[in-house]
Amino acid sequence: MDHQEKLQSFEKIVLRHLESAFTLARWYVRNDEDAKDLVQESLLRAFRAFDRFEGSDGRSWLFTIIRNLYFSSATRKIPDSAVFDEQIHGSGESSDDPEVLLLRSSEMQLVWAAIEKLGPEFREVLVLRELEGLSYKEIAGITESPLGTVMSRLSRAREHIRQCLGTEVRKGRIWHKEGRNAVSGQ
Amino acid sequence: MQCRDSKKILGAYVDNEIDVMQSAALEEHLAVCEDCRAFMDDQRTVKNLVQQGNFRFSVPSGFYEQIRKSLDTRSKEDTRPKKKLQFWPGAADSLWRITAAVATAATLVLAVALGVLLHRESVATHTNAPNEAVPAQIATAQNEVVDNHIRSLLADHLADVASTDQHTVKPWFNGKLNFSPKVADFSDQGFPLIGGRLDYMEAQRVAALIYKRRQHVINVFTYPHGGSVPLATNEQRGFHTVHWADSGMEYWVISDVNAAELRQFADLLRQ
Repeated sequence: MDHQEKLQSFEKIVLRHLESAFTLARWYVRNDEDAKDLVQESLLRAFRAFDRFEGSDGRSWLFTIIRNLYFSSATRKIPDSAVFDEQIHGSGESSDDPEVLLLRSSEMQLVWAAIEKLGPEFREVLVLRELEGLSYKEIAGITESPLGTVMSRLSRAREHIRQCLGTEVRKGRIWHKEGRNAVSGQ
Repeated sequence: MQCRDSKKILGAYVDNEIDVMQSAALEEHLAVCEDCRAFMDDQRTVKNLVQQGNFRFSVPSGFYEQIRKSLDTRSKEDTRPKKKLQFWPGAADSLWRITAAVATAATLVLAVALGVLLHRESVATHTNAPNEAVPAQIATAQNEVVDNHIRSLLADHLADVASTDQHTVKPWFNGKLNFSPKVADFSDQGFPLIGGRLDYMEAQRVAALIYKRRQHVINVFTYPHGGSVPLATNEQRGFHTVHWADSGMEYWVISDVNAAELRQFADLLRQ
């Protein structure tokens, strides 16, 4: 395969997932510049290894590379799924970009901040499931974890977000507000 | 079903990821347990919130073009980021120190990355003019080799299987890799086998074999390769590397031992 052919094929199978790749990377590192570095380095590695890529799911393959690069750059040891470490999970920084904040309703800001407070191994399952719509099995493949781990991380991530939102969710205010307004014609 | 078991699978139930039998048992429990129903509602509510929030990021302007340019190996410039990748500040102090140490040499990295071909001495005669595509790709792999080597020394994680017995190390890789690496002990020649571990480079799992030369650690990274690549030596960030591919396998050998001894070791591996 000559260079041009390889590039065209790579674009069709892998590079077209650039937005998804950037979203995952951005949620890992939580700033644009590091996310760009992470994605660019991952794509270069993917491109170099592309001759050996035999699957058809370029997106999951790229996610796996991004994830491996992120965790190997961060630390060799991936935090244990059983440990919900406050030190790790309290390290999130809230987005304070006024433009970003303006674009989101106050409820969604709370959700956003709650996701940022999660540890990376919890954030990634949320992104892969709710933003990318992947199955538990696909997520297990990308994260090299058993299905049960994917299940429990996702459940605990949601539980954590609910706790961050406090009693709002329990009262159903966030979720039902729009519906109620619609019903009452406001 | 107990609440404890119920709550374990309620998230998956909301996601339609459990089977019919489990669903039936769970629904039976939900019918009589208000607490678990509330838990399920919470899971569903949060799930919907995350899905409905606009939590995706759009690709920054110019980024796609930047990527295309860096992939276009006809481009004479290596546009890869030159700084060492470190995405989790504070998590690895020792890595930071290394990063700081190599930062002083950062300006040299570009020169090294671009000049790999100029610096490498090739034993095999290859007369083809070096393709400009090669430096960036080799440099990418070489960077990974150096990163992996440093990491193996930093973490207390040099070997997953510590053994000087090749008949222990080789079978350890069974089922962990889709190939079987060549494992030999060279104690008699002064390069004893220390063990093996799984590592990751070139977007795949690779076998890492660990040898020693006196007190110096030598890492050998090996994985399948279709063609053959002439042997090339190089030096980066104070480490010597030897790289080649033959008989269907690609090899990267790296250590802080001197270049001559590392080359001697590589020749043993190549026999």
